[in-house]
Amino acid sequence: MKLPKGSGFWPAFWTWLTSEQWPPEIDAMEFYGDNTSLLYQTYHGPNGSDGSRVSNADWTADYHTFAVDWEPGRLTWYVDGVATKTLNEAPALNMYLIASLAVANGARAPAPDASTPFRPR
Amino acid sequence: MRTLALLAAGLLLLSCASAAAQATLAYNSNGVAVSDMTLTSTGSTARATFTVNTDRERSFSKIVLKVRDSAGRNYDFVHHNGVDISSSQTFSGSRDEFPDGTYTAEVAYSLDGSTWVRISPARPFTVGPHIADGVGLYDFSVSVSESEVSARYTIDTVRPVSFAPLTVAVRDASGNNLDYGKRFQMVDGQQSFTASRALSPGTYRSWVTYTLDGTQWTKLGTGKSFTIPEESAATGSDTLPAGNAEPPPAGPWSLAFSDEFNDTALDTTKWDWKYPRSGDMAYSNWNNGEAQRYKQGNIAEKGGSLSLTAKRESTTSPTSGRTFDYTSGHPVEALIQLPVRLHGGAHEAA
Repeated sequence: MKLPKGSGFWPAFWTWLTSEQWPPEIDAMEFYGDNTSLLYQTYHGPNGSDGSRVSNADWTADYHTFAVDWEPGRLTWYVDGVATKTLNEAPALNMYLIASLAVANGARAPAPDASTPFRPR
Repeated sequence: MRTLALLAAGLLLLSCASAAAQATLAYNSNGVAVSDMTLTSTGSTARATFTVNTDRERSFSKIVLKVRDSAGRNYDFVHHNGVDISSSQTFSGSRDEFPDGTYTAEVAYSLDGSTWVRISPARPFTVGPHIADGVGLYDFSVSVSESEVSARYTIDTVRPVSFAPLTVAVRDASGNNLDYGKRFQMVDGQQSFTASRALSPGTYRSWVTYTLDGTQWTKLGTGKSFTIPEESAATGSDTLPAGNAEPPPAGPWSLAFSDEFNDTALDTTKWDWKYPRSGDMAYSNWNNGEAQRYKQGNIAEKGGSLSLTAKRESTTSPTSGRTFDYTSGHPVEALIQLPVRLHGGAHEAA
């Protein structure tokens, strides 16, 4: 994936339940375009959230691959083929996969500002 | 020399890990520690659970939960006499007809029946009163890990209450609203909540608050202050690993779902462009800090690549009339089956 730079851009590669129950949620990748050096790998589970940050000079400079191995009782996160996080916990429920580019409104992450590079309509 | 250095580093890590484990349990000089202490109350009944850990077999003459009100009056409960613990034992108990007020509770024991030793920091808890809407807050705690703050709390209602929403309020030093963990839901009885969010370095004030009508907010309990430290220079997995290889499948994997994005438009037999639910929430998690409404037209596919484009354009929901300032794209896997490996292909955004 190639991630966007700019305040308010909030891309994620993640899973959710059709039942709308929450948690669980597996975030293979979550990124906030106002800070291009950090991305977030998180499992939101029944006992709380376990999140990790992975740093890089600029995540938006190149394409990167993001992956999670989802096995019974175990989750392993990968960036560019290298394991970056493991957790001995995993949901045993059917979930669906989402690749989203949300726009933050300022409540959870900074909203777009004048410098945010939106494409012309 | 290199081998020696590595060995020394390994030993250092081992000793650090061992010290950390002991610090977590905080054994006292008798080798006794308390863990997993919870204090809750419903109406005027207080309940407590705690685990006593010993580093070797120990005989206790008495174990008690010492409870005092703000004037120092004795409300002890959970009494046990003559207990042998080989490594750990969990105790629980309750006491009725507590007057409304704030109490402290701590676990204490006596080995000989006359000398008392306290083994846990005194923890405050509150019994009632349930405020006007029949909503009580218990065990609100805030913890910070790097740039993320997490809140845990328990809500107790005397009758079903529909929150619209219940939320963890956060204000920075300038009073900016950074609330998180909004829950639009009904609580009937007791329910515990956890929520977390990332924040910039600084000092914050946090509390639990709710509204039933979307306008009038009620603050629960007393707030807490916390600080997000300046980022430390080097921690763990902070450098990008070299290479761009596929993660090698370990074990018997089989391909359940894939899309190479070689069509001229999003393959709608594999993907939907909105959430599988009704109303505005199909197009936006607008109650979770999102300002966009997803549109199919913001997703383009060409030459092995899928593009999601965010645009600054205002749209109004035809069903609710709610206005969104932005649009964007959002492919949602439509097979609703369990793909055992999540693997991102290339998608270009913005």
